[in-house]
Amino acid sequence: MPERKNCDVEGCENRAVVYLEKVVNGHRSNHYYCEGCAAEKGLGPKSEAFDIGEILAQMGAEAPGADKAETCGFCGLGHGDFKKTGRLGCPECYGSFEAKLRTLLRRIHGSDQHAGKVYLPPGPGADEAGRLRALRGRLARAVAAEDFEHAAVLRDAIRLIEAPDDGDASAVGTAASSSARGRQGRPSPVSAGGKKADGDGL
Amino acid sequence: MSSADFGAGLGLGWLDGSGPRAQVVVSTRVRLARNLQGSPFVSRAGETGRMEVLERVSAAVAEAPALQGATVFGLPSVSERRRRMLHERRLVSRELLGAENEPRAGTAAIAAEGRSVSLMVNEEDHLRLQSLAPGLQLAEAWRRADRLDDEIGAALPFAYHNEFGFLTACPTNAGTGLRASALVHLPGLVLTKEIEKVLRGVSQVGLTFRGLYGEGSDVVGNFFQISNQTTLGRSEEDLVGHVERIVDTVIQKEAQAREVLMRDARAAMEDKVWRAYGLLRHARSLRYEEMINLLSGVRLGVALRLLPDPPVETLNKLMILAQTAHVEETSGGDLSAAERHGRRAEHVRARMEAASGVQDGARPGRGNARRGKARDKETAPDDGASG
Repeated sequence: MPERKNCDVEGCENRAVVYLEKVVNGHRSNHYYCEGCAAEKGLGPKSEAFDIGEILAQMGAEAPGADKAETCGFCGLGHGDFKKTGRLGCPECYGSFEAKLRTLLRRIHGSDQHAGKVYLPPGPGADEAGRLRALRGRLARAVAAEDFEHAAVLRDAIRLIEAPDDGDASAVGTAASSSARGRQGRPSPVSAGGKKADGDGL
Repeated sequence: MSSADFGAGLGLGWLDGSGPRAQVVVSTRVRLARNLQGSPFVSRAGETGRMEVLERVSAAVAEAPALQGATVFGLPSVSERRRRMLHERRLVSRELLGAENEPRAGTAAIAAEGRSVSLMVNEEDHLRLQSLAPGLQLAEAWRRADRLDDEIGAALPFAYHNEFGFLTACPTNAGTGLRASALVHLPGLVLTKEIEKVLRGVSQVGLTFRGLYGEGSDVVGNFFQISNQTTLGRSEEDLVGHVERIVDTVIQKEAQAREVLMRDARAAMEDKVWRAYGLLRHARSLRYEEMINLLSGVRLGVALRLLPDPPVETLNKLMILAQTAHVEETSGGDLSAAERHGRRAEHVRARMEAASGVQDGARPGRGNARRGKARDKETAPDDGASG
């Protein structure tokens, strides 16, 4: 920071500790914020590691009543246990405590929406359109990484779905990997409802 | 697939110092956290649950080309010293070693000679896939981890949620389950006292730093691990690219700090690195931490061309193969602390002696690239740290 300044936020007279230089459409502007105001704007210096305990301790008061369950119906983990240990009991916990977790995930990651790899478990549960989507995503990644050998395998798998007459479409999901042969874990469905929780406090 | 023996090179492919920026970046690592659908997470699984997971994972790995020829090291059946060796080779985390060094039933490391990818089973999550590469090549490490993930994920149903991504025991890992990290050597920033500022900057852009052995470990020898902190809301490529860009910036800052040191304190720098060199070449007793600090000085001296040798590969190997469990293993028995320090010094002297006059072939970013003898002339003693 070039010189000592006060926080830009109206009504705040604290000394600025965060300096932000914004360039929008070639227009440059400077902003100064104190620690508190910077944190509110999501600019504050983050601690070196998550203090998940602290975040968890603040939970509960939020996400009022959105989750009916206080205990996971699958593994029996109580929400109180999770608050104590910071560890969930099973994949189904994400469904059981969905509203509270959504708040927590946003606090930790700044998002509650996965933007990475699309995954479809092996087995007959996955639909064809979903498989195609997942395979195309993987193909794009393989091409971007110039992993053409892998890309060729994925491309063949996609062709099998798109033109089922040329092959057995049911084998497609596993065609991309020889490792899938003969194994079939019956996936237990995880609550994946697209609904956002109400009143999650953010 | 149940042998407790492992070869000299198991999990050590990244030591050769071959990657880009290898003088500053020791290695890069990408790990993915995965869990199996329908099974409780490890902390609530119980012995039977953990054993079942291990069985299913072992079967899937047997069919996965990315881990062809892998060995499953069921940790309870591996000797205590071998377990520590796996830890020293970064194939097993401290958590997987277990409290009081008593690993739980069903915990395992899966690795193959000559492969850069490996697995931990029943650590905090059912599966931790990891990919290690020398130097700064996070995209390559990610590509290999991704491939292994595809192969295992096609055989076993991973717990996955349309919105939350891959589901993990701790919500801090949910989404991609990806941690991308680079182990960087930053003595210039430490000596110029710029390091705090740089690390604060690293924290501000959503990354975090740790010591040599990951979470909870101390910073020794000016080695820092820089990694992403968040795992949800951005794609894997995005996360990896972000870490790579920031590490690149940190490397530039380090280079600037080294320039300042060479300009303003060349004599002091020469003295410092030659002292470190002299001690490594001649000391008769070395504690691990002392050795790491000396290696840091020599690594800096070699990078600045103040020292004639050894190549980065030797320095990397010493970091790993002169650790406590490895020294004990090569000595073939339990040692007192004094004996161990003596054996370590002996090992270091021999390796330094063998590399005397051997230099790195290429110096990225510097003028006369090829100087000195080729690296492959190095004939290190007892590369095989194990039987």
